[in-house]
Amino acid sequence: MFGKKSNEKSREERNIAHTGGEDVRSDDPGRVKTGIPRLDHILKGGFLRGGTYVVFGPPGCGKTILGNQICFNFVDMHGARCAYLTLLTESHGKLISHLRSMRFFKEEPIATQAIHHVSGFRVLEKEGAGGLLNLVRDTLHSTRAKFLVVDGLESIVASSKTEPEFKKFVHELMLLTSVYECTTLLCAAESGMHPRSEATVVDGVFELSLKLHGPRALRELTVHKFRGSDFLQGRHEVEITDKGLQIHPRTEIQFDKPPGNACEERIRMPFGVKSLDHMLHGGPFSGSSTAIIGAPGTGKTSFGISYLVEGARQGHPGVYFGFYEPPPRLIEKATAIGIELEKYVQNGMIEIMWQPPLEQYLDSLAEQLLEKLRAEQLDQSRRRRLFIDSLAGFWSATAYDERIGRFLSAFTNQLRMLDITSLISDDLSLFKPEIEVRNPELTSVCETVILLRTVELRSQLHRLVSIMKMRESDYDSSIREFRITKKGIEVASSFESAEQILSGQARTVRREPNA
Amino acid sequence: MSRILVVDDEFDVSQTLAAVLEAQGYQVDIRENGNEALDYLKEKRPDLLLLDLMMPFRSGLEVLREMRGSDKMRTIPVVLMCVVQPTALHRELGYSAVLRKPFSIDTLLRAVESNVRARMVESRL
Repeated sequence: MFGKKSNEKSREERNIAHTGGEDVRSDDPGRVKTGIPRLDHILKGGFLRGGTYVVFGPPGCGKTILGNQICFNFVDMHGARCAYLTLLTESHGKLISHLRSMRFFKEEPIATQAIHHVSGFRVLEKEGAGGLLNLVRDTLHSTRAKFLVVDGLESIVASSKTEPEFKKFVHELMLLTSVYECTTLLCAAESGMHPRSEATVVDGVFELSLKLHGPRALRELTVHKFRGSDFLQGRHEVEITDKGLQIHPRTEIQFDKPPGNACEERIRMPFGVKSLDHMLHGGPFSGSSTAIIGAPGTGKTSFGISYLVEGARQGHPGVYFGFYEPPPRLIEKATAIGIELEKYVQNGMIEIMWQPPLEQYLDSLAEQLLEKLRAEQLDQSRRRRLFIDSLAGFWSATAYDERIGRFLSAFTNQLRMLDITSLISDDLSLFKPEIEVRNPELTSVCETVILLRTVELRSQLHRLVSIMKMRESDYDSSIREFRITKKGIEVASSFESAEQILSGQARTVRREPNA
Repeated sequence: MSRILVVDDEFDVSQTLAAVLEAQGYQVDIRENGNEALDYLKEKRPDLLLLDLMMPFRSGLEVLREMRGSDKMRTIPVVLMCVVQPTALHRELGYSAVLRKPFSIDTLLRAVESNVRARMVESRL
C-alpha cells in the first residue's frame, strides 16, 4: 500500500479509472460514435454499426435536438451522410430555425445535403407505412446515408391498425437499414407506463425523461436496453444548453470498479498550522481525503485556504473548488487573516473554481473537477492539493439525497487514483449542541476527520479543534483551542486551555506568546 | 393568367402558398416531391417554379439538375425555397431567386411578381 509504484503503471491504472474501469476503444469499427458528450462513454463506445435504436420521451425532453446533434456530429466525425426523416407536422424551416441557436448547427451540411432533411408526413398520410418504407428505401439509396433519424414514430403507431402491423413496419425498416448498413435512431413521444411494443424488436431503447423536482426541471437519460454491449445502467443527468445535449453519467456507476490502489510513495501534507500539523504527526498523507467538519463560522474555510497556501509554498499546486465564497471575497478573507492566498492565485499555483450553488448538476460538478485534475496530470512528480468548500454544494446539486453516500465513495476514490490530497469541508448545525453530521458517509470515506467546534465560556465563544480519526497513522487525540487572528490560525500547543473551557472552570490561564 | 408550380413536401406550406398566390390571380399547381414535379414538367410549362430543396424521392437539387439538362425545361425560371443558403452547385445550375424559409407573404409576392414579369418581357422579346 505504501510502496512506490512506477509512474507508467499508475498512468495506465488512471486511464482505466477514467473510463469507469472499461477500456473504450475510440477506433472500434463496429461502433458509431454519437459525439454527444459522454453518451458514447455510457454506451461503452457508441451505437453498434447498423443497429436500430429508439429514444422516447415527452415533448420538450430533447429528442429532436439529440437526433440532429448526432447528425451534425456524424458528418463531422465520420464524413458520411445522414438522413433526417420527420413524420411530425412541424416544417423543416421551423425545425432548422430552432436549431440555429445551437452551437453544433452549421449551414453547410444542410445546404450540401450531407444531412438530408426530408418530410415523410404526407407520404405516411397518403400511402401508409408501406409508402413510408418506400420513401426510406429511396432516401437511403439516393443519399447513401449511414445514419438515419426517423422523428415522430408515434405517427406510424397512429397510422397502424394493429400493434403487429406496427411491429412489422419496424422489423421491415430494420431489415432495410441493415442492408444499407445504416445506423438508425427512431424518436418517439412518450408511451406512458406501458412497455413500448417496438422495444422487443430494436437493438436499444433509451428514455429521455423530463420532470419537475420541486421547482426545478430535471432531465434524465436511461438506457433500458442495449443489445450486444455493456453500458452504464440507471438514470444519468441531461443538460440542454446552446451546446446541445450534454449527458452526465452517474459518478458512482462510472467508477464502480476502481483499481485496488494507485498511490505513489506517500508523504505528509501539512496545513501550515504548527500545532495542528504536530497533532496530525506531520499532516494527512498525500493521496488521502480529509473531512473538516464544523458549524458555520468555526473556521473551516480558513483552515482550507491555509492548507492550500502551505501546499503552494512547498510547490504543490492546489485547487479551491467552492460554492459559497466568490473569488474576490475569498482572497479578501484570506488577506484579513494573514494568509497569502492572493500571491499564489496570481502566480497560478492555486486556482479558484467557484460555482454558485444554484441550478447545478451533481455529476456535472464532479466531471468538471475530475476532468480538470486529469488534464493537469502531466507532471507526475508534483503532488496536488484540493479543497472542496463545501459538501453542501454537492447536496444542493442532487435530486436524490440517497445518492450522496455512494457518490462520495466513488468520487473520493477517483481523487485517490489521481493522487490528489483532498480536504472536504462539511457543515454541522449552528444551533444544536450535539454533533450531528449530515453526511456520515463523509467521515467513513475520508481517512482523516477534523472537528471544529465553538464552546461558550463566561459569555465568550471559544473555538476548539480535535482530530476524530486518522487512518493508518498515530495522531494526538487531545482537544485544542484555536484562534483565527490577523497573523493566521493559531492552535494552542497544549490541551490545557481547552480542558478549562470544556470543564467550565473559570480560571485565567497565562498564554504563551506563540500559543 | 400566369401559371405557377409549387413543389414542396410540406403540405401546409404548399397549400398556404397556393392560397396566397391564387388570391393574387395566379393559377397554381402543387406537387409534393421531385418525382411528381418532373412528371408535371414533362407535360406542362409553368411561368414560374417555386421549388423546395429538401424533399423526398428527389430533392430540389436533383430537379434543378434534370431541368438544366433538358431543352424543354431549361428556361423555366426557378425560385428556390430553402432553409439555408444555396451552395455553389445550385448557383452553377442557375436559379432566379431564393426565398429563405420562413419567409413573409410580402417577400413571396415580390419574388413571384418580379420573376413572372421578367418572364413575360422575355417571352415578348
